[in-house]
Amino acid sequence: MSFGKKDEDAESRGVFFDKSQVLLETRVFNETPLNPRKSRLLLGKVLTLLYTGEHLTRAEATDLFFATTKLFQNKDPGLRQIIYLLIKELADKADDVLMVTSSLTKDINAKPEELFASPNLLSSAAASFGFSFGSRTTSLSSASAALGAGAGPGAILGTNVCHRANALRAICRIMDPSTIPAIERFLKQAIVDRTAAVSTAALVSSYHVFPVARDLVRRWVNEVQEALTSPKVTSTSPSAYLSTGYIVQYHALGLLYLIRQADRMAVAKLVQSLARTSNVRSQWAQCMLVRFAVKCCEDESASFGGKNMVSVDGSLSAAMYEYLKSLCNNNDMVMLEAARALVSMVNSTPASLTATQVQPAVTALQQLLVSPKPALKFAALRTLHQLAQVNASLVTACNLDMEQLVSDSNRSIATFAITTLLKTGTESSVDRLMKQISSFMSEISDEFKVIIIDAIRVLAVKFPAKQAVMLSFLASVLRDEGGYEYKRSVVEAIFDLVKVLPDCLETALAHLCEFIEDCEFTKLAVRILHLLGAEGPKTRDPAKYLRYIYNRVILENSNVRAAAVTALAAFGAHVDSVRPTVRVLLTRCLDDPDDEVRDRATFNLAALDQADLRAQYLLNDTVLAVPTLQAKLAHYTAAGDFAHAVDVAAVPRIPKAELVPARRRAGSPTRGGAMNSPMLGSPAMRTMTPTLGPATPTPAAQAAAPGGASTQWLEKEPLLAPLLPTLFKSTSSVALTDRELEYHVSLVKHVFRDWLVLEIEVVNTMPEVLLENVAVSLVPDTPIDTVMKQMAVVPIASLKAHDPQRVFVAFQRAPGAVPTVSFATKLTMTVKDCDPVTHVPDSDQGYPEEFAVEDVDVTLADYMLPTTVPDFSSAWDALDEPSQVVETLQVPGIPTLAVAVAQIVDLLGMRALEGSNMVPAEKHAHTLVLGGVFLGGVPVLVRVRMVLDAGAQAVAMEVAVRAGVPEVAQVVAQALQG
Amino acid sequence: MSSIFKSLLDWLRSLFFTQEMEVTLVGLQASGKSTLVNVFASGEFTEDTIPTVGFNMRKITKGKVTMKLWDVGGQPRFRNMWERYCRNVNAIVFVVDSADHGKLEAAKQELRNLLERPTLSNVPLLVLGNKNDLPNALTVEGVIDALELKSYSQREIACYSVSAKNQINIDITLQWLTKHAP
Repeated sequence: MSFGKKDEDAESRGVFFDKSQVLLETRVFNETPLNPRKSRLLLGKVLTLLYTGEHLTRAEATDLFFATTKLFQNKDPGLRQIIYLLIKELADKADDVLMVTSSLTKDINAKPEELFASPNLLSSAAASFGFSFGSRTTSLSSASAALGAGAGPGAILGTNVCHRANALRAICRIMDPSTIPAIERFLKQAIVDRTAAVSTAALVSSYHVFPVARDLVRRWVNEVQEALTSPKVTSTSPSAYLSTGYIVQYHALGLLYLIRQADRMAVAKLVQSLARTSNVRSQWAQCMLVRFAVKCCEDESASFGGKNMVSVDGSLSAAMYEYLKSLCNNNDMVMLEAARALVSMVNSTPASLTATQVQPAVTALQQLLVSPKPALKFAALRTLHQLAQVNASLVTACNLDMEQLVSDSNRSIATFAITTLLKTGTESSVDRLMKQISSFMSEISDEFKVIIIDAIRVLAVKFPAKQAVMLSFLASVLRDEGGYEYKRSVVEAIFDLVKVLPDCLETALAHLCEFIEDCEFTKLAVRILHLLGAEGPKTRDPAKYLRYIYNRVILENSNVRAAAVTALAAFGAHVDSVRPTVRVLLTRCLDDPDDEVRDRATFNLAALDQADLRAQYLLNDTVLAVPTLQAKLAHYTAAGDFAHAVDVAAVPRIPKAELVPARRRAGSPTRGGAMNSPMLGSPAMRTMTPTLGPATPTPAAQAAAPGGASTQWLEKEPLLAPLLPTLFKSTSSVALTDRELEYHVSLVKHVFRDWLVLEIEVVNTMPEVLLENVAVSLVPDTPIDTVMKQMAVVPIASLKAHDPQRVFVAFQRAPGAVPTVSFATKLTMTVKDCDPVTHVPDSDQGYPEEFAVEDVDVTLADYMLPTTVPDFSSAWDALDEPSQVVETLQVPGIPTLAVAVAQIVDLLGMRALEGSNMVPAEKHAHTLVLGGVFLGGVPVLVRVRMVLDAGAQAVAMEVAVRAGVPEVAQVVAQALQG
Repeated sequence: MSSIFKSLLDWLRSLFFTQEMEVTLVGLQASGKSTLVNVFASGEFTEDTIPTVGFNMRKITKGKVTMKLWDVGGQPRFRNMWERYCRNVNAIVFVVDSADHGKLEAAKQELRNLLERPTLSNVPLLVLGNKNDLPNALTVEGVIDALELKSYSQREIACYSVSAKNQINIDITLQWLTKHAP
């Protein structure tokens, strides 16, 4: 074992050199005459040390740097170019690196006629590319290439060109913002140099220099543009370097984009003009252009409210779409990139492409599937898989090709093919696929198995008719050998089946019971026992599970025993017939050697015996929303006023089940595209799988948190911080401006017992102006003076670019008033021109400006927290009948009941209970029940019975509201009428 | 034809008989170091030399001696790095602008600082009073006095008054340098 490990180490480390030994050897640099070969080898060793992460002290690095400068201007090309490499490495490690400026400048300006052939060019070219992509591994390999260089085949370029390029790259590394202007002239010249290597080096260096000398590099736009449009070929010989032809274009495009990045219109223009002409010859430049095009389209559709812009004539997206389509029969790389781009446009749901529009991409990918190169096959599959996540029917055209790939010798491709097929397959092909998979499972590693299990999980939910096949498959693989992750995914798949398809409950539980009889993973056993406790009592014959569970108490470790005790208690609580048995079993647990097990047994015994305790602790499956509770307690303790108790009634409740899975699954590792949540599936599937939302907690759970936005900024505002103990709710942040405007404004509403505070965040995106005295003017659409008064505005004194600051507006409400109002809103400020870097204003004179943003709406939902109740009908009955308010409404212009439900939930800010927010697709009548806590901790329940008139696209509803306080019920009912 | 033959001969001779030596030129900024190096190398005087940022290295061959000339920038930020380039060389050349009287004091101080370094105790020094073509330039004696060269008793020191522009005394300077080849 240790033997094998050592081997691995040696391999990853490459060759081992001792730092002090190597540094000592650098004395040879001072020898006269110099031995170039020896020096080069030594520098190679130094570089290897640096690349493998050896640390040099400042003094060591500086000494090394100066020793190296002694080697300058050597005739030996190999030595020269490795010096450049070392300088780049030492640039930020050593002091006084500016020392080599003059020497490097001299190299850059070396006259082109000094060209002569060199045998070492291959390695130096490789080395320079290694730098340009900034990847450690590449530079490492190139360094070792340089180490062993000296016998490369004939030259392609003059050494001189190579030195010029390398010197350019090196000089840009040693420069700082104050010294860069001195070399600006050389860089500008080099960008338009007629040699591709030099031009490329200059472009890439400019790219690296950009962050420190933004404005300087911006001035080179014309040169960069010229480099982009007048393509140079690196080499005309049919060598390995052919593919780097037109590489200048790639780098020039990258730099140009970097320069214009901030200006969306300029980027769009750039992309559009390049897409129209066929001037872009470099494949890489084309790929990059495709990515920019996608970004442009995303931006456009985002600013037009998520419309499908492709179908709009004359829009940017339409032009981009044509461009992408035209690329779908280009060379492999570009084709793949274009197809991926089109597929990604399908993904962005609101602006998605139609099936016919994405067809060219599917055809292109189909071609790639039969490519002989595994990487291409894999990439094409991956893209198809992505598409299948969104709309499986689009991919069916490729099913035949994918089925062939199932037997591919590359396991990754085979697995991916299977999982994609599982997504696109029809009900009839499931049996065949499952057979194929069963024969295949034993040959692949756990990681792949997990991916397949995940796919099957989705499939089982999709085709309920096939659940028996799936379940027996899952049960059989559960019996196979496998690691924890694998077993966990199988168990989880079964869990999901149980949740979604109640029919298979008993079979699934039987399989799981059998599994825990011999389960080596404590965590899994605990979870299965929990599931047994939760679901077992619902079965026809609960008694039979008791034996399995009690066996665990006898045989397992303390964690499992504790879980088993809780599971037993759950049976006892829910099923009257087995309660005496459970009591006997629990009594035996009182002698358990473990504290926790004994405690649980004692507690459960006590709770079982009394009906009220049982209802409160064992049958209640809701908990307080912990984040809200936490925030409330924190404010309570901070306020220091302990005369009143904490108002727990104002804390919403959520179902237990919701907290736990969200936490558990968020922690589980995601496995690339294959593990993508089934939630992303087709709309039809979504309505069927309400409980399958692994990656994200459900929206309701988020709303139950103290609000999307935190109160951290409020706490820092001395005027408002005292209000915090009475905070009822903070809404999540809402944008009040479009993203492309010069100021980004967003809003968070904080609702207090008697106050309403608007927190308006302003971001200035223009570095050349400074905003002062930023305040907000709010004009209500209806008179509000009687119910609400604006008491204070906390303005922003001075707002620099890209530094979010907040304006606060505080309103005091009349006691008990819950006004709903809409404010016409604008920012008022003084604008001053300033230096973009230091933010010092050019003059004291500014000019006033107003900036209108979207209206600020205060709605009923702002006074409401969503909550849940253990049992709606009993809670409904518990609330006073007299407080009930009933309204009947006729709402036109609603196509489906699901839309109506979403609108009501949104309007009231309440929580849909008992899964009533899911409307089966073909039903025309539905009852929605909602729970909420109104300002002041008043419980509110709403029942909406609705009927859809599909022909008239209208919904008739009868709304019944009950609340702890009759006035609140009135207010809520009125809100719905609006 | 003959030139090819001659260069071949030179090359062969360089293989067997050449001696290599290293010389470092230091001195305040704008004293004419880079210009002097150019004159040594090509015999041409160039007007518009740009300030040296860091250092420059030139290799020149005079007869059978190959000289590596380290021309180190004279701006204040580079002065503490002179010593690094003066270690282990065969000779240090200290260039002063003999017409700029205002800077002589600073030049004296910098020279003293440099020569006090223990690593440089045995290196021969050549002081060049450059720009002697200018009207109010000091004479050799004037330079010796101004830099207090007589106070360095242990070291081999020579001092010439030269002009890169008019190429005065460049030949004796080169002679002095080649004489100090190892």
